[in-house]
Amino acid sequence: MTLFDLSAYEILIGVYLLLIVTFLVVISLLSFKIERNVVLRRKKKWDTLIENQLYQAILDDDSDFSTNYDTPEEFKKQLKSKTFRRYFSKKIMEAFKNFSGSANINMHKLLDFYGLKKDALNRLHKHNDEDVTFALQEVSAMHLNAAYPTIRNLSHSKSHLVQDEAFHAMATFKGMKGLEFLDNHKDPLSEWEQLILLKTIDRTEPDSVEKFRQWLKSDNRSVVALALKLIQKFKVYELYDEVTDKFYFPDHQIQVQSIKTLVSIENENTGEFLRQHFYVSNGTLQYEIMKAIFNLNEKVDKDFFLKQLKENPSPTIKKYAAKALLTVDRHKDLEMLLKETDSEEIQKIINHIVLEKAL
Amino acid sequence: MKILVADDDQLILKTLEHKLRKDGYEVIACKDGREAIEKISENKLDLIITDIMMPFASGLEILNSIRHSENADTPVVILSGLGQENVVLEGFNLGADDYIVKPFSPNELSVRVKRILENSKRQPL
Repeated sequence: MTLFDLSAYEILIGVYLLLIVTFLVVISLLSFKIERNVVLRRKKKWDTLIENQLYQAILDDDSDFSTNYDTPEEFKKQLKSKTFRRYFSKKIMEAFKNFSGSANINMHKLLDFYGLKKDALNRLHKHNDEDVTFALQEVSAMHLNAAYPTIRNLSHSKSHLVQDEAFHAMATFKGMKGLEFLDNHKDPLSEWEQLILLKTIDRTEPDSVEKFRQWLKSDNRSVVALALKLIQKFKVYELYDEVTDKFYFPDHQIQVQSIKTLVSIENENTGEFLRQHFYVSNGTLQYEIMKAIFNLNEKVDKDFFLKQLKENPSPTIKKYAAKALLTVDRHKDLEMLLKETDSEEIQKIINHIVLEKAL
Repeated sequence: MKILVADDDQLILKTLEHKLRKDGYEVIACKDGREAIEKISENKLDLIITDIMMPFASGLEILNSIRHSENADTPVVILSGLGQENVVLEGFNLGADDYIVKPFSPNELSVRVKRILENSKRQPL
C-alpha cells in the first residue's frame, strides 16, 4: 500500500496524529527546560542564602548563634524544606575541609543553632542506604560522639555501602579502637577500604602491637594485608619476626606486602634474608625483592645487581638492576659490561637506561 | 595595597575577598589560573595568594611564570589542600614566600599576609 492508496480522511488523521506527537514532544522539552531552570534558580538562591550564613560564621569571630540570633526571613522559610536542610549540611561539611580555627568552631555553632546535628542523627535511622551513608559522613565530620553506638550497629549492616562508611566512621571517631571490628571480620576488605582506614588512623595505642599481632594471624587475607600496612606505616619493629613469617603466606599480595613492611622495619639481617629468598622465588616476587634490596639502608650490593643484569633471564629484572647501578653512580661498571658483553639484550638495556637518565 | 587571590572554590574566594577587604586591602579575585595570569600581567600587585589545583593553569605554573617575569619580587603565598612534603618543597623551591595547607584559619592567613607585606616593604631596593 502506498500513500496514494489512502483516502483524504485517512491522510488527515495521519497529519493530526503527527501534529499531536510533535506538540507533545515540544511540551515535554519545554517543561524539562523550565523544570531545569527552576532547579538551577533555586540552587543559586540557596547558594546565596547559605553562603551568607557561612561568611558570617567564618569571618565574624564574635558570631553569636544564640536564641537571639536574627535569622533572615527568607532563610527561615527555606529551613522548613528537608532538601534545603540537607543541602545546607552538605555545604557546611565541604567548608569543614577548607576552614579551621575559629571559623571551624563557628560552623559547629551554626550546625547546633539550626538543628542540623539532630537531623544527621535522625538520618542514621533511615531505610535508604544512600541517606544513611550521607548521615555517617555527616556525623563523622561533625564529630558527634552521641552517634557512636548507632555507627557500631551499622557496621553490621548488610549493605556494603553502609558497612564501609560505618568502618570509616568508627576509625575516625576512635582511631585504633575503632578498628576492633577487624578481630572477627570475615568479608574481604577491598584495597580502597584498606587505604581509607590506613589514612584515617594517625596514631597507635599502647596495646596496638598486640592487636597487630592478632590481626596477622587472621584467616581473612585482607585483614592480614591491612595489619602489614599498618605495621609499615607505624614502623612496629617489635613485630619483625611475625612479618618475616608472612613472607611464606600462600598469597602473592601478602608476600609482596610483607617485603615492603620488612624494608620499613629492617634490621641487620634483612638484606641477607632477602638475598637468600631472591634465588628461590618466582619472577614477580624476585622483582619485589630486588626493589626491597635496593631500598635497604645498607650499602648497595653492586655485585648482586651486576650479576642480575648479566645472568637473570627476566628483562624486567635486568632493567631494574641496570637502573639501580646507574642510580648509585656505577657508570664505570656499566660501561665495562657494555664493552665486554656479546649480549645484544644487555647492550640495549644499558643504552636505554643511560639515555632515559640523560633525558 | 593590592592583593590578587586565585582559587576555584567560590566560598574560599569570596571569604578571602571579604576578609582582606575588611583588613584594608584592595582585592582582585580570580576563579581560575588563566584569569589570574591575565590580571597579574595587567596589575602591579603587592601580594599574590594562589591555590594549586585550578582549571587552565596551576598555582605552581603561575608562581613559576611570576618568578621569570619583571615582577619576580612579588611575594606569593600558596594556599592549597595538597600538604604532601614533595609538593610543599616544590612550592618553596619555585620561590613561594609561604605555603598554607587547607583547612586554614582566615585569621592566621590575615596575620601572615600582614607580616609578609611588612617584610617586603623592609627589603632594600
